[in-house]
Amino acid sequence: MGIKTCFISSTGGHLTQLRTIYDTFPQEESALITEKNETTISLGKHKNVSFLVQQDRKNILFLFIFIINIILSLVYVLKYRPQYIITTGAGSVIPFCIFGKIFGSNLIFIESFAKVNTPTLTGRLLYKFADKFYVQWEELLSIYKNAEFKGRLY
Amino acid sequence: MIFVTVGTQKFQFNRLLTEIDNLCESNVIKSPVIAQTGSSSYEPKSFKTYKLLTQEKMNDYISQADLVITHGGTSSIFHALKLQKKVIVVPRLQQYGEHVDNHQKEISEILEMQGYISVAWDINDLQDLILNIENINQKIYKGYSEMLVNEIKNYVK
Repeated sequence: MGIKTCFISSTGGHLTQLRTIYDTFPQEESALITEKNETTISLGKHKNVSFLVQQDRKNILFLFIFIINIILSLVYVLKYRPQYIITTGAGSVIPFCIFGKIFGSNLIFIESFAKVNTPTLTGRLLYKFADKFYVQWEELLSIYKNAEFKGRLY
Repeated sequence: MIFVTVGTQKFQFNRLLTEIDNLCESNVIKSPVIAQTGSSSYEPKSFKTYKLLTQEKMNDYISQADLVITHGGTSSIFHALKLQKKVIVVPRLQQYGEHVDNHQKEISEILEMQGYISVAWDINDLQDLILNIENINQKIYKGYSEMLVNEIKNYVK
């Protein structure tokens, strides 16, 4: 069976929130993509888990890492060809989401719980591309006019 | 029992542990205290500490606690709220080298405003909050995650 849904996020709180959804989906039809570091390396044992390089805007190698992640993102989109992409951010997910849209995926974005009054950069950018856009605080509905508030991932 | 947790990040939170130790010594806190101390270097004299706890142990201690005192990490706060505990939050502050920035203030502020938690904005407020916790009404937090997860599942179907 092919992959129906790709879940993608950076590590930390973004991944904790994403896993609230991912963990309830059938693993054989789902793929999980996140950044590789010591907290995520053990996920590599699972089926259909792929890694991006840990991206950090303050790193001097940022541009180089970002380019590698753009290439990896394209490879993963072509590998999985997901019908749906579900993401909670942050920045490193942007290329995958845009390539996904180009290849016909349906994009579902959930703005991070940690942001109450101010949108994230990634949220602002992907708002233009997302088919479904959820916020976890009603306060953000005034910024994202077409977003929906349907509850939280905690 | 009072359960204290400061999360797992690589920064110390000695300010909180020192204050709780002082409150135990001065007999303000009379009930037993158990603390998860992470990367803090301060070693409390008055209560038992663990550097890190497994998810199961963490659950056990929070379940047994009458009051949870925590740093402003969402994971710890919601863990306690979901088990319907009274929660006092002490946000980690950048100026004391407790975190890279002051983002723990933002989430603390909104949860306090909505009535789910009490916040010790100054470490000296902690004593009053602990002494009055029985009289402080905190809203019960209803996890909404099922609703959002089901919503997404229906969309993806």
